[in-house]
Amino acid sequence: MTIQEAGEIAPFIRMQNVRKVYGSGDDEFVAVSDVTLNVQEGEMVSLVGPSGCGKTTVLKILADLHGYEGGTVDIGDAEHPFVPGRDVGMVFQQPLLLKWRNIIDNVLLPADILGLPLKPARDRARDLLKLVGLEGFEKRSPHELSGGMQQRAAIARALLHDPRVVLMDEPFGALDALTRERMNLELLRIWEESGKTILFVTHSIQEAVLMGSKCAVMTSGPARMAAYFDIELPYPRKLDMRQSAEFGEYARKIYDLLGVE
Amino acid sequence: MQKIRNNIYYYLPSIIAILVLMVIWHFSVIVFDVKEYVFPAPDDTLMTLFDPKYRWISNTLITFYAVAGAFVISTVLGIVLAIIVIWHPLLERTVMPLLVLFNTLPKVALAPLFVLWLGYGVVPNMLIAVTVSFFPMVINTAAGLTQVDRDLIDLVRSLKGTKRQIFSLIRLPNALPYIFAGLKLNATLSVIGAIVGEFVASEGGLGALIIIGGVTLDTPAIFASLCIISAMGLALYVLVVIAERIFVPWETSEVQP
Repeated sequence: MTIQEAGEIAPFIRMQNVRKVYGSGDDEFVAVSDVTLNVQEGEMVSLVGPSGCGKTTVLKILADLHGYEGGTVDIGDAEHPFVPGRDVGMVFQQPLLLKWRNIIDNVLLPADILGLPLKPARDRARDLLKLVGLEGFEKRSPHELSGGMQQRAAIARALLHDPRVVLMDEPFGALDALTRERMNLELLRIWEESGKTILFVTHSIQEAVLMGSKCAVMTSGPARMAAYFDIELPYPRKLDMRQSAEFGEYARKIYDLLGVE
Repeated sequence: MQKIRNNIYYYLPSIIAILVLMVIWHFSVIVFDVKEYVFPAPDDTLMTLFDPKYRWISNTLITFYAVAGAFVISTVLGIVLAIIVIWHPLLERTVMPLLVLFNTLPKVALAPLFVLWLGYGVVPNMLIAVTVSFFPMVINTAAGLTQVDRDLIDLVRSLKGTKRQIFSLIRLPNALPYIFAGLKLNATLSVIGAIVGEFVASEGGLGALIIIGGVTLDTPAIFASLCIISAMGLALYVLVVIAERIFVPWETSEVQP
Protein backbone atom coordinates (compact mmCIF):
# COMPACT_ATOMS: atom_id res chain seq x y z
CA MET A 1 0.00 0.00 0.00
CA THR A 2 1.22 3.47 -0.73
CA ILE A 3 1.65 5.85 2.17
CA GLN A 4 0.05 9.23 1.75
CA GLU A 5 0.30 12.34 3.89
CA ALA A 6 1.47 11.51 7.36
CA GLY A 7 0.87 7.78 7.37
CA GLU A 8 -2.66 7.91 6.06
CA ILE A 9 -3.66 4.92 3.93
CA ALA A 10 -4.48 5.82 0.35
CA PRO A 11 -8.18 5.23 -0.34
CA PHE A 12 -9.10 2.01 -2.09
CA ILE A 13 -11.44 3.75 -4.52
CA ARG A 14 -10.54 7.24 -5.74
CA MET A 15 -12.98 9.09 -7.98
CA GLN A 16 -11.89 12.63 -8.80
CA ASN A 17 -14.25 15.13 -10.49
CA VAL A 18 -15.83 12.42 -12.59
CA ARG A 19 -18.19 13.61 -15.29
CA LYS A 20 -20.39 11.41 -17.46
CA VAL A 21 -22.44 12.61 -20.42
CA TYR A 22 -24.86 10.59 -22.52
CA GLY A 23 -25.51 11.55 -26.14
CA SER A 24 -24.01 14.64 -27.79
CA GLY A 25 -24.92 18.08 -29.08
CA ASP A 26 -28.50 19.12 -28.34
CA ASP A 27 -29.37 15.66 -27.01
CA GLU A 28 -26.60 15.86 -24.46
CA PHE A 29 -27.63 14.65 -21.04
CA VAL A 30 -25.34 15.08 -18.08
CA ALA A 31 -25.67 11.93 -15.99
CA VAL A 32 -23.15 13.07 -13.37
CA SER A 33 -21.31 16.34 -13.49
CA ASP A 34 -18.73 16.30 -10.68
CA VAL A 35 -18.32 13.29 -8.46
CA THR A 36 -15.44 13.00 -6.05
CA LEU A 37 -15.52 9.95 -3.86
CA ASN A 38 -12.84 8.28 -1.78
CA VAL A 39 -13.63 4.92 -0.27
CA GLN A 40 -11.43 2.96 2.11
CA GLU A 41 -11.27 -0.79 1.83
CA GLY A 42 -13.96 -2.43 3.97
CA GLU A 43 -16.27 0.58 4.11
CA MET A 44 -19.99 0.52 3.43
CA VAL A 45 -20.81 3.67 1.52
CA SER A 46 -24.43 4.57 0.98
CA LEU A 47 -25.21 6.72 -2.04
CA VAL A 48 -28.48 8.53 -1.52
CA GLY A 49 -30.44 10.88 -3.75
CA PRO A 50 -33.57 11.24 -5.87
CA SER A 51 -34.02 9.22 -9.04
CA GLY A 52 -32.08 10.63 -11.96
CA CYS A 53 -29.25 11.99 -9.83
CA GLY A 54 -26.71 9.61 -11.32
CA LYS A 55 -26.31 7.12 -8.47
CA THR A 56 -26.58 4.18 -10.84
CA THR A 57 -24.18 5.87 -13.25
CA VAL A 58 -21.53 6.05 -10.52
CA LEU A 59 -21.89 2.32 -9.89
CA LYS A 60 -21.71 1.52 -13.59
CA ILE A 61 -18.54 3.59 -13.98
CA LEU A 62 -16.96 1.71 -11.07
CA ALA A 63 -18.08 -1.61 -12.59
CA ASP A 64 -16.40 -0.55 -15.85
CA LEU A 65 -19.72 -0.84 -17.69
CA HIS A 66 -19.46 2.81 -18.75
CA GLY A 67 -16.71 5.12 -19.78
CA TYR A 68 -16.65 8.69 -18.49
CA GLU A 69 -15.87 12.04 -20.07
CA GLY A 70 -13.86 13.78 -17.38
CA GLY A 71 -11.98 13.21 -14.16
CA THR A 72 -10.16 10.12 -12.98
CA VAL A 73 -11.14 6.81 -11.44
CA ASP A 74 -8.56 4.68 -9.67
CA ILE A 75 -9.21 1.54 -7.71
CA GLY A 76 -6.65 -0.48 -5.80
CA ASP A 77 -2.91 0.11 -5.94
CA ALA A 78 0.18 -1.24 -7.69
CA GLU A 79 0.68 -3.90 -5.06
CA HIS A 80 -2.85 -5.22 -5.21
CA PRO A 81 -4.08 -4.14 -8.64
CA PHE A 82 -7.81 -4.05 -9.09
CA VAL A 83 -9.05 -6.40 -11.82
CA PRO A 84 -12.33 -5.28 -13.43
CA GLY A 85 -14.65 -8.26 -13.66
CA ARG A 86 -12.82 -10.49 -11.22
CA ASP A 87 -13.02 -7.90 -8.43
CA VAL A 88 -16.59 -6.64 -8.94
CA GLY A 89 -19.80 -8.07 -7.56
CA MET A 90 -23.16 -6.52 -8.42
CA VAL A 91 -26.64 -6.66 -6.91
CA PHE A 92 -29.58 -5.02 -8.61
CA GLN A 93 -33.09 -4.06 -7.55
CA GLN A 94 -34.42 -7.28 -9.07
CA PRO A 95 -32.79 -10.56 -7.99
CA LEU A 96 -32.25 -11.49 -11.68
CA LEU A 97 -31.93 -15.18 -10.90
CA LEU A 98 -31.90 -17.49 -13.91
CA LYS A 99 -35.15 -19.45 -13.98
CA TRP A 100 -33.46 -22.47 -15.57
CA ARG A 101 -30.92 -22.87 -12.78
CA ASN A 102 -31.48 -23.93 -9.21
CA ILE A 103 -30.31 -21.67 -6.39
CA ILE A 104 -26.78 -23.02 -6.02
CA ASP A 105 -26.20 -22.99 -9.79
CA ASN A 106 -27.42 -19.39 -9.86
CA VAL A 107 -24.90 -18.51 -7.16
CA LEU A 108 -22.26 -20.27 -9.31
CA LEU A 109 -22.92 -18.07 -12.37
CA PRO A 110 -19.82 -15.88 -11.79
CA ALA A 111 -17.71 -19.06 -11.64
CA ASP A 112 -18.99 -20.04 -15.10
CA ILE A 113 -18.27 -16.61 -16.52
CA LEU A 114 -14.85 -16.21 -14.94
CA GLY A 115 -13.89 -19.85 -15.52
CA LEU A 116 -13.17 -20.58 -11.85
CA PRO A 117 -12.48 -24.19 -10.81
CA LEU A 118 -15.87 -25.68 -10.06
CA LYS A 119 -15.18 -27.82 -7.00
CA PRO A 120 -13.92 -25.03 -4.69
CA ALA A 121 -16.51 -22.65 -6.18
CA ARG A 122 -19.27 -25.08 -5.24
CA ASP A 123 -17.98 -25.34 -1.67
CA ARG A 124 -17.82 -21.58 -1.46
CA ALA A 125 -21.35 -21.25 -2.87
CA ARG A 126 -22.56 -23.57 -0.10
CA ASP A 127 -20.80 -21.48 2.54
CA LEU A 128 -22.24 -18.27 1.10
CA LEU A 129 -25.76 -19.68 1.05
CA LYS A 130 -25.26 -20.46 4.73
CA LEU A 131 -24.01 -16.91 5.27
CA VAL A 132 -27.11 -15.37 3.68
CA GLY A 133 -29.42 -17.77 5.54
CA LEU A 134 -30.38 -20.02 2.63
CA GLU A 135 -28.90 -23.27 3.86
CA GLY A 136 -30.97 -26.19 2.59
CA PHE A 137 -32.34 -24.25 -0.41
CA GLU A 138 -29.47 -25.20 -2.75
CA LYS A 139 -31.58 -27.36 -5.06
CA ARG A 140 -34.71 -25.21 -5.06
CA SER A 141 -35.90 -23.28 -8.09
CA PRO A 142 -35.87 -19.48 -7.84
CA HIS A 143 -39.68 -19.28 -8.16
CA GLU A 144 -40.03 -21.39 -5.00
CA LEU A 145 -38.36 -18.62 -2.97
CA SER A 146 -39.87 -15.37 -1.70
CA GLY A 147 -38.61 -12.02 -2.99
CA GLY A 148 -36.42 -11.49 0.05
CA MET A 149 -34.91 -14.96 -0.22
CA GLN A 150 -34.24 -14.47 -3.93
CA GLN A 151 -32.40 -11.26 -3.12
CA ARG A 152 -30.32 -13.13 -0.50
CA ALA A 153 -29.33 -15.58 -3.25
CA ALA A 154 -28.41 -12.62 -5.47
CA ILE A 155 -26.15 -11.30 -2.69
CA ALA A 156 -24.50 -14.72 -2.36
CA ARG A 157 -23.94 -14.71 -6.13
CA ALA A 158 -22.32 -11.27 -5.94
CA LEU A 159 -19.87 -12.59 -3.32
CA LEU A 160 -19.03 -15.93 -5.00
CA HIS A 161 -15.84 -14.86 -6.78
CA ASP A 162 -14.65 -13.03 -3.66
CA PRO A 163 -14.75 -9.60 -5.31
CA ARG A 164 -13.01 -6.68 -3.61
CA VAL A 165 -15.94 -4.34 -4.14
CA VAL A 166 -19.67 -5.07 -4.15
CA LEU A 167 -21.92 -2.60 -5.95
CA MET A 168 -25.57 -2.62 -4.92
CA ASP A 169 -28.16 -0.68 -6.88
CA GLU A 170 -31.23 -0.25 -4.66
CA PRO A 171 -31.00 -3.92 -3.69
CA PHE A 172 -34.05 -3.87 -1.43
CA GLY A 173 -36.15 -1.37 -3.41
CA ALA A 174 -38.56 -4.03 -4.65
CA LEU A 175 -39.19 -5.60 -1.25
CA ASP A 176 -42.01 -4.87 1.19
CA ALA A 177 -41.16 -2.62 4.16
CA LEU A 178 -40.82 -5.38 6.77
CA THR A 179 -38.67 -7.65 4.60
CA ARG A 180 -36.62 -4.64 3.65
CA GLU A 181 -35.80 -3.81 7.29
CA ARG A 182 -34.84 -7.40 7.96
CA MET A 183 -32.63 -7.44 4.86
CA ASN A 184 -30.95 -4.20 6.00
CA LEU A 185 -29.84 -5.90 9.21
CA GLU A 186 -28.87 -9.05 7.30
CA LEU A 187 -26.70 -7.08 4.90
CA LEU A 188 -25.01 -5.26 7.79
CA ARG A 189 -24.21 -8.64 9.32
CA ILE A 190 -22.96 -10.06 5.99
CA TRP A 191 -20.84 -6.95 5.48
CA GLU A 192 -19.27 -7.27 8.93
CA GLU A 193 -18.61 -10.98 8.47
CA SER A 194 -17.20 -10.69 4.96
CA GLY A 195 -15.32 -7.42 5.37
CA LYS A 196 -16.20 -6.36 1.83
CA THR A 197 -16.16 -2.84 0.46
CA ILE A 198 -19.78 -2.14 -0.41
CA LEU A 199 -21.34 0.75 -2.31
CA PHE A 200 -25.02 0.81 -1.58
CA VAL A 201 -27.36 2.94 -3.68
CA THR A 202 -30.70 3.89 -2.18
CA HIS A 203 -33.30 6.63 -2.39
CA SER A 204 -34.34 6.08 1.22
CA ILE A 205 -32.68 8.53 3.60
CA GLN A 206 -33.39 6.26 6.59
CA GLU A 207 -31.76 3.34 4.84
CA ALA A 208 -28.76 5.44 3.85
CA VAL A 209 -28.11 6.47 7.45
CA LEU A 210 -28.73 3.02 8.89
CA MET A 211 -26.49 1.20 6.41
CA GLY A 212 -23.61 3.54 5.69
CA SER A 213 -20.33 3.94 7.48
CA LYS A 214 -20.05 6.79 5.00
CA CYS A 215 -22.79 8.57 3.12
CA ALA A 216 -22.61 10.26 -0.27
CA VAL A 217 -25.52 12.60 -0.97
CA MET A 218 -26.28 13.26 -4.63
CA THR A 219 -28.68 15.81 -6.07
CA SER A 220 -30.32 15.99 -9.47
CA GLY A 221 -30.53 18.88 -11.92
CA PRO A 222 -27.63 19.14 -12.32
CA ALA A 223 -26.62 15.67 -11.18
CA ARG A 224 -23.73 16.16 -8.81
CA MET A 225 -22.43 15.13 -5.43
CA ALA A 226 -23.64 17.47 -2.71
CA ALA A 227 -21.83 16.03 0.31
CA TYR A 228 -19.80 13.11 1.54
CA PHE A 229 -19.45 12.45 5.26
CA ASP A 230 -18.92 9.77 7.90
CA ILE A 231 -21.84 8.29 9.77
CA GLU A 232 -20.54 7.67 13.24
CA LEU A 233 -23.30 5.55 14.66
CA PRO A 234 -22.16 2.60 16.77
CA TYR A 235 -22.06 -1.00 15.60
CA PRO A 236 -23.87 -3.31 15.51
CA ARG A 237 -26.50 -1.08 13.96
CA LYS A 238 -30.04 -1.69 15.17
CA LEU A 239 -33.42 -0.65 13.80
CA ASP A 240 -34.34 1.25 16.99
CA MET A 241 -31.35 3.54 16.44
CA ARG A 242 -33.62 5.32 14.03
CA GLN A 243 -35.35 6.89 17.01
CA SER A 244 -32.08 8.27 18.43
CA ALA A 245 -31.19 11.96 18.27
CA GLU A 246 -27.93 11.20 16.45
CA PHE A 247 -29.71 9.28 13.72
CA GLY A 248 -32.24 12.11 13.39
CA GLU A 249 -29.43 14.63 12.95
CA TYR A 250 -27.90 12.66 10.08
CA ALA A 251 -31.30 12.23 8.46
CA ARG A 252 -32.03 15.96 8.87
CA LYS A 253 -28.68 16.82 7.29
CA ILE A 254 -29.47 14.69 4.23
CA TYR A 255 -32.99 16.12 4.00
CA ASP A 256 -31.54 19.63 4.01
CA LEU A 257 -28.94 18.75 1.36
CA LEU A 258 -31.62 17.27 -0.88
CA GLY A 259 -33.89 20.28 -0.30
CA VAL A 260 -36.72 18.06 0.94
CA GLU A 261 -39.08 19.60 3.44
CA MET B 1 -51.21 -44.04 -9.52
CA GLN B 2 -52.60 -40.73 -8.28
CA LYS B 3 -50.91 -39.06 -11.25
CA ILE B 4 -52.55 -41.40 -13.74
CA ARG B 5 -55.94 -40.78 -12.15
CA ASN B 6 -55.38 -37.02 -12.32
CA ASN B 7 -54.47 -37.37 -15.98
CA ILE B 8 -57.65 -39.32 -16.69
CA TYR B 9 -59.79 -36.72 -14.93
CA TYR B 10 -57.99 -33.98 -16.84
CA TYR B 11 -58.46 -35.46 -20.31
CA LEU B 12 -61.83 -37.18 -19.79
CA PRO B 13 -63.98 -34.14 -20.72
CA SER B 14 -62.05 -33.69 -24.00
CA ILE B 15 -62.47 -37.35 -24.91
CA ILE B 16 -66.18 -37.28 -24.07
CA ALA B 17 -66.65 -34.12 -26.16
CA ILE B 18 -65.06 -35.80 -29.19
CA LEU B 19 -67.17 -38.95 -28.73
CA VAL B 20 -70.37 -36.91 -28.36
CA LEU B 21 -69.52 -35.04 -31.54
CA MET B 22 -69.05 -38.37 -33.38
CA VAL B 23 -72.42 -39.64 -32.12
CA ILE B 24 -74.19 -36.41 -33.17
CA TRP B 25 -72.48 -36.62 -36.56
CA HIS B 26 -73.50 -40.26 -36.99
CA PHE B 27 -77.18 -39.78 -36.14
CA SER B 28 -77.55 -36.46 -38.00
CA VAL B 29 -76.44 -38.16 -41.19
CA ILE B 30 -79.00 -40.94 -40.65
CA VAL B 31 -81.89 -38.77 -39.40
CA PHE B 32 -81.59 -36.12 -42.12
CA ASP B 33 -80.74 -38.71 -44.76
CA VAL B 34 -77.65 -36.88 -46.00
CA LYS B 35 -76.11 -38.30 -49.19
CA GLU B 36 -72.71 -39.94 -48.73
CA TYR B 37 -71.05 -37.71 -51.37
CA VAL B 38 -72.20 -34.63 -49.46
CA PHE B 39 -71.38 -35.64 -45.91
CA PRO B 40 -70.36 -39.24 -45.16
CA ALA B 41 -71.12 -40.81 -41.77
CA PRO B 42 -68.21 -41.56 -39.40
CA ASP B 43 -68.41 -45.32 -40.07
CA ASP B 44 -68.24 -44.75 -43.87
CA THR B 45 -65.16 -42.64 -43.29
CA LEU B 46 -63.66 -45.32 -41.08
CA MET B 47 -64.39 -48.06 -43.63
CA THR B 48 -62.68 -46.02 -46.35
CA LEU B 49 -59.51 -46.10 -44.26
CA PHE B 50 -59.41 -49.89 -44.74
CA ASP B 51 -59.88 -49.71 -48.50
CA PRO B 52 -56.52 -50.72 -50.05
CA LYS B 53 -57.16 -48.89 -53.35
CA TYR B 54 -56.26 -45.57 -51.71
CA ARG B 55 -52.80 -46.86 -50.68
CA TRP B 56 -53.13 -45.03 -47.36
CA ILE B 57 -49.77 -46.04 -45.96
CA SER B 58 -47.67 -44.86 -48.90
CA ASN B 59 -49.72 -41.68 -49.35
CA THR B 60 -49.51 -40.90 -45.63
CA LEU B 61 -45.74 -41.48 -45.71
CA ILE B 62 -45.34 -39.09 -48.65
CA THR B 63 -47.13 -36.36 -46.74
CA PHE B 64 -45.32 -37.27 -43.54
CA TYR B 65 -41.89 -36.87 -45.20
CA ALA B 66 -42.85 -33.43 -46.47
CA VAL B 67 -44.23 -32.39 -43.04
CA ALA B 68 -41.33 -33.80 -41.02
CA GLY B 69 -38.74 -32.40 -43.42
CA ALA B 70 -40.37 -28.97 -43.41
CA PHE B 71 -40.61 -29.02 -39.62
CA VAL B 72 -36.92 -29.82 -39.17
CA ILE B 73 -35.71 -27.40 -41.86
CA SER B 74 -37.91 -24.59 -40.50
CA THR B 75 -36.66 -25.19 -36.98
CA VAL B 76 -32.99 -25.03 -37.94
CA LEU B 77 -33.45 -22.21 -40.46
CA GLY B 78 -35.64 -20.21 -38.08
CA ILE B 79 -33.22 -20.44 -35.15
CA VAL B 80 -30.16 -19.70 -37.31
CA LEU B 81 -31.85 -16.67 -38.94
CA ALA B 82 -32.96 -15.40 -35.50
CA ILE B 83 -29.40 -15.63 -34.18
CA ILE B 84 -28.10 -13.79 -37.26
CA VAL B 85 -30.74 -11.09 -36.90
CA ILE B 86 -30.06 -10.41 -33.21
CA TRP B 87 -26.27 -10.66 -33.41
CA HIS B 88 -25.72 -7.17 -34.80
CA PRO B 89 -28.00 -4.16 -35.33
CA LEU B 90 -26.76 -3.88 -38.92
CA LEU B 91 -27.79 -7.48 -39.62
CA GLU B 92 -31.17 -6.77 -38.09
CA ARG B 93 -31.69 -3.74 -40.33
CA THR B 94 -30.68 -5.64 -43.46
CA VAL B 95 -31.96 -9.20 -42.98
CA MET B 96 -35.15 -8.48 -41.04
CA PRO B 97 -36.85 -6.27 -43.68
CA LEU B 98 -36.18 -8.97 -46.29
CA LEU B 99 -37.79 -11.60 -44.07
CA VAL B 100 -40.80 -9.39 -43.34
CA LEU B 101 -41.18 -8.61 -47.03
CA PHE B 102 -41.00 -12.31 -47.86
CA ASN B 103 -43.55 -13.11 -45.20
CA THR B 104 -46.09 -10.72 -46.73
CA LEU B 105 -46.17 -12.89 -49.86
CA PRO B 106 -49.06 -15.38 -50.04
CA LYS B 107 -47.08 -18.63 -49.88
CA VAL B 108 -49.72 -20.54 -51.85
CA ALA B 109 -48.90 -18.31 -54.78
CA LEU B 110 -45.26 -19.35 -54.56
CA ALA B 111 -46.07 -23.04 -54.89
CA PRO B 112 -46.18 -23.11 -58.72
CA LEU B 113 -42.70 -21.54 -58.78
CA PHE B 114 -41.25 -24.35 -56.72
CA VAL B 115 -42.89 -26.90 -59.02
CA LEU B 116 -41.46 -25.01 -61.99
CA TRP B 117 -37.96 -25.04 -60.50
CA LEU B 118 -37.88 -28.46 -58.87
CA GLY B 119 -40.62 -30.49 -60.55
CA TYR B 120 -43.01 -32.79 -58.76
CA GLY B 121 -42.05 -34.67 -55.62
CA VAL B 122 -41.50 -34.51 -51.93
CA VAL B 123 -38.67 -31.94 -52.01
CA PRO B 124 -40.65 -29.06 -53.59
CA ASN B 125 -43.54 -29.83 -51.21
CA MET B 126 -41.15 -29.72 -48.31
CA LEU B 127 -39.77 -26.37 -49.41
CA ILE B 128 -43.24 -24.93 -49.97
CA ALA B 129 -44.10 -26.01 -46.41
CA VAL B 130 -40.89 -24.37 -45.16
CA THR B 131 -41.91 -21.03 -46.69
CA VAL B 132 -45.15 -21.28 -44.72
CA SER B 133 -43.72 -22.42 -41.40
CA PHE B 134 -40.26 -20.88 -40.86
CA PHE B 135 -41.22 -17.26 -40.18
CA PRO B 136 -42.88 -17.72 -36.76
CA MET B 137 -39.75 -19.64 -35.72
CA VAL B 138 -37.60 -16.61 -36.57
CA ILE B 139 -39.86 -14.13 -34.82
CA ASN B 140 -40.34 -16.20 -31.67
CA THR B 141 -36.69 -17.17 -31.33
CA ALA B 142 -35.52 -13.60 -31.92
CA ALA B 143 -37.97 -12.35 -29.29
CA GLY B 144 -36.70 -14.91 -26.79
CA LEU B 145 -33.07 -14.06 -27.49
CA THR B 146 -33.61 -10.33 -27.03
CA GLN B 147 -36.16 -10.16 -24.22
CA VAL B 148 -33.56 -10.31 -21.49
CA ASP B 149 -33.42 -7.86 -18.59
CA ARG B 150 -30.81 -5.12 -19.31
CA ASP B 151 -29.53 -5.44 -15.75
CA LEU B 152 -28.89 -9.15 -16.27
CA ILE B 153 -26.74 -8.37 -19.30
CA ASP B 154 -24.94 -5.72 -17.21
CA LEU B 155 -24.37 -8.31 -14.49
CA VAL B 156 -22.58 -10.60 -16.94
CA ARG B 157 -20.70 -7.68 -18.48
CA SER B 158 -19.58 -6.49 -15.04
CA LEU B 159 -17.87 -9.89 -14.74
CA LYS B 160 -16.28 -9.25 -18.14
CA GLY B 161 -18.42 -11.97 -19.74
CA THR B 162 -18.04 -12.14 -23.51
CA LYS B 163 -20.81 -11.69 -26.05
CA ARG B 164 -20.62 -15.43 -26.61
CA GLN B 165 -21.05 -16.12 -22.88
CA ILE B 166 -24.03 -13.76 -22.72
CA PHE B 167 -25.48 -15.73 -25.61
CA SER B 168 -24.89 -19.24 -24.27
CA LEU B 169 -25.50 -18.59 -20.56
CA ILE B 170 -28.36 -16.08 -20.79
CA ARG B 171 -29.92 -15.46 -24.20
CA LEU B 172 -30.23 -19.02 -25.49
CA PRO B 173 -31.78 -20.59 -22.36
CA ASN B 174 -34.00 -17.52 -22.05
CA ALA B 175 -35.19 -18.13 -25.63
CA LEU B 176 -36.12 -21.81 -25.08
CA PRO B 177 -39.76 -21.22 -24.04
CA TYR B 178 -40.15 -18.87 -27.01
CA ILE B 179 -38.58 -21.43 -29.33
CA PHE B 180 -41.13 -24.00 -28.16
CA ALA B 181 -43.96 -21.52 -28.78
CA GLY B 182 -42.53 -21.20 -32.30
CA LEU B 183 -42.28 -24.99 -32.66
CA LYS B 184 -45.99 -25.36 -31.86
CA LEU B 185 -46.85 -22.94 -34.67
CA ASN B 186 -44.25 -24.59 -36.89
CA ALA B 187 -45.85 -28.04 -36.31
CA THR B 188 -49.27 -26.84 -37.45
CA LEU B 189 -48.01 -24.70 -40.31
CA SER B 190 -45.73 -27.43 -41.68
CA VAL B 191 -48.79 -29.67 -42.11
CA ILE B 192 -50.72 -26.88 -43.83
CA GLY B 193 -47.75 -26.09 -46.06
CA ALA B 194 -47.22 -29.70 -47.10
CA ILE B 195 -50.89 -30.10 -48.06
CA VAL B 196 -50.77 -26.83 -50.03
CA GLY B 197 -47.74 -28.19 -51.85
CA GLU B 198 -49.56 -31.41 -52.68
CA PHE B 199 -52.58 -29.49 -53.96
CA VAL B 200 -50.35 -27.82 -56.51
CA ALA B 201 -47.90 -30.58 -57.32
CA SER B 202 -50.11 -33.54 -56.67
CA GLU B 203 -48.44 -36.76 -57.62
CA GLY B 204 -49.07 -38.44 -54.31
CA GLY B 205 -49.77 -37.80 -50.68
CA LEU B 206 -52.93 -37.01 -48.74
CA GLY B 207 -53.28 -33.60 -50.42
CA ALA B 208 -53.36 -35.34 -53.77
CA LEU B 209 -56.01 -37.78 -52.50
CA ILE B 210 -58.17 -34.83 -51.43
CA ILE B 211 -57.88 -33.23 -54.87
CA ILE B 212 -58.74 -36.54 -56.57
CA GLY B 213 -61.59 -37.11 -54.09
CA GLY B 214 -62.98 -33.67 -54.93
CA VAL B 215 -62.98 -34.36 -58.64
CA THR B 216 -64.51 -37.85 -58.32
CA LEU B 217 -67.06 -36.90 -55.61
CA ASP B 218 -65.33 -39.40 -53.30
CA THR B 219 -66.20 -37.51 -50.14
CA PRO B 220 -65.40 -40.36 -47.71
CA ALA B 221 -61.83 -40.40 -49.05
CA ILE B 222 -61.57 -36.64 -48.42
CA PHE B 223 -62.83 -37.09 -44.86
CA ALA B 224 -60.50 -40.01 -44.25
CA SER B 225 -57.56 -37.96 -45.55
CA LEU B 226 -58.54 -35.07 -43.28
CA CYS B 227 -58.62 -37.43 -40.30
CA ILE B 228 -55.09 -38.66 -41.00
CA ILE B 229 -53.81 -35.12 -41.61
CA SER B 230 -55.35 -33.95 -38.37
CA ALA B 231 -53.88 -36.93 -36.48
CA MET B 232 -50.48 -36.17 -37.99
CA GLY B 233 -50.64 -32.52 -36.94
CA LEU B 234 -51.80 -33.50 -33.47
CA ALA B 235 -49.04 -36.08 -33.07
CA LEU B 236 -46.38 -33.55 -34.03
CA TYR B 237 -47.88 -30.99 -31.67
CA VAL B 238 -47.95 -33.47 -28.78
CA LEU B 239 -44.30 -34.36 -29.45
CA VAL B 240 -43.42 -30.68 -29.17
CA VAL B 241 -45.36 -30.37 -25.91
CA ILE B 242 -43.61 -33.44 -24.44
CA ALA B 243 -40.20 -32.14 -25.53
CA GLU B 244 -41.08 -28.78 -23.97
CA ARG B 245 -41.80 -30.42 -20.62
CA ILE B 246 -38.44 -32.17 -20.77
CA PHE B 247 -36.32 -29.25 -21.95
CA VAL B 248 -38.12 -26.27 -20.40
CA PRO B 249 -39.25 -27.63 -17.03
CA TRP B 250 -38.97 -24.18 -15.41
CA GLU B 251 -41.75 -22.77 -17.59
CA THR B 252 -44.06 -25.79 -17.55
CA SER B 253 -43.59 -27.12 -14.00
CA GLU B 254 -46.51 -25.17 -12.56
CA VAL B 255 -48.93 -26.19 -15.29
CA GLN B 256 -51.13 -29.19 -14.54
CA PRO B 257 -51.05 -32.05 -15.22
